[in-house]
Amino acid sequence: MSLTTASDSELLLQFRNPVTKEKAYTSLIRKYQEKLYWHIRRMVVEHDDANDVLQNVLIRVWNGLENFREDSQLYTWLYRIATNECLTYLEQQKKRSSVSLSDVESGLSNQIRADKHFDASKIEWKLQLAIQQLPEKQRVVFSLRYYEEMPYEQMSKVLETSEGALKASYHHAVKKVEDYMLNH
Amino acid sequence: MPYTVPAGYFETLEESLLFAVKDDQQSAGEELSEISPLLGGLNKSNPYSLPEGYFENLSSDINRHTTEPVKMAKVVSITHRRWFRMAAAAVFAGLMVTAGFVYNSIQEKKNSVAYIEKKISKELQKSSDSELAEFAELMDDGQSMASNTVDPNTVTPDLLKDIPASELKDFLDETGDNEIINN
Repeated sequence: MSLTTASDSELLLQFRNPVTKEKAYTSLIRKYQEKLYWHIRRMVVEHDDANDVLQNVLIRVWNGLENFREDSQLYTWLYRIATNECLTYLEQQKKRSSVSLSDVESGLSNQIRADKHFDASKIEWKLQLAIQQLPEKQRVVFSLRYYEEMPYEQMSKVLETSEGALKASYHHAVKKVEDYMLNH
Repeated sequence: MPYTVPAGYFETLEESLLFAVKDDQQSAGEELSEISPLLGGLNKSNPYSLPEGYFENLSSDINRHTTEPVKMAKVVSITHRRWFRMAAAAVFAGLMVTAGFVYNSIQEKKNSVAYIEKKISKELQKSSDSELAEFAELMDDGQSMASNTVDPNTVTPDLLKDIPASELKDFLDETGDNEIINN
């Protein structure tokens, strides 16, 4: 089987072989890069920031994949790394600018408005502004469920939170987003 | 009370908890339509844009960071550089000239009268009285020997008695000096 169509377990096997390690890694990047990028981009908004975070994620994957024990799915593990990197990045932003998290969130909304394609009359842009009103952990939950349609069981492993808490959090998030859409 | 809660928190809490404990296997789409028909009816299109060819180049960019070995900086031997060789030659020439000057000045110092006197006085200090006395005696003998050297004014006529008068006359004619005979 070619590496480009290999399953996660086959990729892991190939990665542990020094001869096929680089090819397996390249295949893994190609398989997951878009999903991870958009997950990160919705959290940090700017492309350059998303690119920096994604590169950090993929380098961490390179360094840690050999010791990945397959207790969880590779897909879940990748999202966990990406989510943690996003939260770390946002935390650093907050520390650097010495402002509150709500200021960072309003800064993210301003970044959305500064996008050269931004159009306030379009509902997809309004949805992005609504998502940025959410606290960052609720934003992760909303993003994983709404865009990725990730099952709660997997989300629970990514965020190390109970399924019930995630469901409640998502319900809250959806209601807040809906409220923003109706009132702005 | 100093604490605040998000707007509408209590209004949605009960509903959220009931939703959380509900044990069903709804799909994400069905679930969303149930919570918010507005959001459930939206197209999930992505408004963000990204640079052209970004994903095509990403894996090679990442591979550059992870798989390529750290390139060692090229080691350039400093001794192979032209300026270094010229500088080394100049330093060597300078050293040779300086060494020459130092050597000459030492030799001049050794040949000076003051240096010789100093050396003699050192040697004299090292010598015993008996050695000095012996030396002085030798010097006296030398002086007496010197005083015994032949004085041309004291040459006696006996030395010339076997030489025929005609030869003496010829000799005197050649040298033009008749003092010897007169004495």
